[in-house]
Amino acid sequence: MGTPRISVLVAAVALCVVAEAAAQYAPDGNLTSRADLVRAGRRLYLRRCVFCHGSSGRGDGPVARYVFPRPRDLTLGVFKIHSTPTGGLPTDQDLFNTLSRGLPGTTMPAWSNLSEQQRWALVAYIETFAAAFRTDGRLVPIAIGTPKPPLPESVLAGRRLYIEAECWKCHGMLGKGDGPSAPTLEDDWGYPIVPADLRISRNWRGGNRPVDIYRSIAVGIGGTPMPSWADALTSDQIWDMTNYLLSIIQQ
Amino acid sequence: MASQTAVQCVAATSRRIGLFVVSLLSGITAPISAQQGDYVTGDVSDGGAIVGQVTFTGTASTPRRLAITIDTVVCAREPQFAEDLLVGGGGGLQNVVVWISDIREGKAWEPRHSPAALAQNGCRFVPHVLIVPVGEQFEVWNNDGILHNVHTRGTENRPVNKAQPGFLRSVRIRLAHAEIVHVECDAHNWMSGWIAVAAHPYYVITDQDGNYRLDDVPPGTYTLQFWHERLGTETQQVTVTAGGEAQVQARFASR
Ligand code: HEC
Ligand code: HEC
Ligand SMILES: [Cu+2]
Repeated sequence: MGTPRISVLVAAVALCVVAEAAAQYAPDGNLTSRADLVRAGRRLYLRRCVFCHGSSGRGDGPVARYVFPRPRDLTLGVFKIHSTPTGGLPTDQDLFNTLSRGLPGTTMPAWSNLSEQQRWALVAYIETFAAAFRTDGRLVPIAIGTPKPPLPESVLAGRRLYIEAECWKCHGMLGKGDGPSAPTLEDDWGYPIVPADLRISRNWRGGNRPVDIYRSIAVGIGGTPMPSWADALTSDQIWDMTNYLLSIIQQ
Repeated sequence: MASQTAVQCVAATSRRIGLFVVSLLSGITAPISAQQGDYVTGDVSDGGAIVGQVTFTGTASTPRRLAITIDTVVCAREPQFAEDLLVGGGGGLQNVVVWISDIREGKAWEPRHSPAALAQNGCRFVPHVLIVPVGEQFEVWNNDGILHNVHTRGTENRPVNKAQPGFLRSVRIRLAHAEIVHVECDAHNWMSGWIAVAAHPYYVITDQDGNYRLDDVPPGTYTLQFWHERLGTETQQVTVTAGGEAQVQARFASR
């Protein structure tokens, strides 16, 4: 057990040194063209992101192997968080939001300390890694609408759906992430993955505001077993489900 | 002050990394991508055929019995066997996708009354390999009355993952790039099927004895591709003459 501990410490020191060095980085001036944006994004990426995501974006930076879930391979064009239907690339705004918020429950930090312009520059640069951003049409985000009030009837309807639609098959009856299918789940990058614990929403990748929960249920979590329910449930039912989840969240 | 922040940072970060330290080894099987060009359709009056048999030269053990651990009432009504290597009469290899990879012009798709369909039946994908025209919607049926999910994995196509609870009989999926895509159900990890997203109609799947036939091929010399989910790909040249029948056999060795 000694070696992994030391490695973790080394990785942590490396990360912190990087963070320190990056703090001295001055924001760019006005960026006019996309090419400028990409160049600025690349400079930022090399300072802030390579340690996890690797210089070629393959998710193979020096600390990658100590990190679970693994840093994303950005060359494959598969992302967890997208407001577009299943199979769609994230929008620029989705990537911007992900950078701003990070991916809770993982080592992917929130980059809210960077200026908005710096985050947009990173979005532009990230999109150069995967060919899909050039070859695939961009899909339109799904309509989310306004949340349904979390009245008891709605919560109850959501609870019934949780059983009927078999969310429990992965998430377990009590939402602990221990359903019968849970032990064999794998993500699209080939790693085992556990269903989210539905009582601990601060660890959810896509956020825990009602609109975030609605989106995660409707379009799923890209590249993972968490499927899209947009074809299976009506918008009303997804709000019921959202209200049910809000009622069982403990933290 | 600065060093204190640094210490805190190191402590916090190592705690975070420590939580996530797990070393895992596993690879993703990357389905191969079929060639996709601009295919032009027209009448083929003087076409020829390509026929043959695909055989397996190794020794095939009897198919592995699948361990059905959940939903046994529906999924284990009868014993289930892996379908990833099916060898029939004369060593014929079933479920090989055979297609012309460099054809630019030829027949149109035969008109169909309903979209191509893949059924989830007794917790298996039926058929095991399905051909679907590129860019066209196909249906996935749930005949089982329990939750399945349809999760596609390719390299050209972004992954699609749709929940199909027992009350949802049919969902539609559209794949925009020609390639062979793996279909899985995460709820039942043994469920595995393949979709050959076809750039043109000259795609066929070998039958139980490994036989296949492609008709109405305009005369010319072509590259014929053979793909098997476990055994990989083979390539052969073929020359088709007007009204002729070109014989092309392919062999796969065990890997
Ligand atoms: C400490 C390691 C670490 C650093 C540094 C890091 N990331 Fe990440 N990043 C991750 C991990 C881990 C994931 C995957 C988490 C998961 O799969 O849930 C990830 C995922 C992502 C994703 C995918 C989001 C999605 O929806 O799937 C993007 C985009 C991304 N990171 C961009 C960046 C950028 C840009 C930077 C630099 C500003 C950066 N990351 C720095 C660890 C890191
Ligand atoms: C086939 C298995 C499976 C089924 C069925 C399933 N989930 Fe999930 N779900 C997952 C996995 C795996 C994750 C974790 C994804 C990750 O870690 O990135 C997840 C994550 C989530 C999250 C957290 C999203 C986030 O932002 O991280 C929510 C909320 C959720 N599921 C709700 C549901 C609901 C509601 C249903 C039923 C309508 C459902 N799930 C059905 C596998 C499943
Ligand atoms: Cu299934």
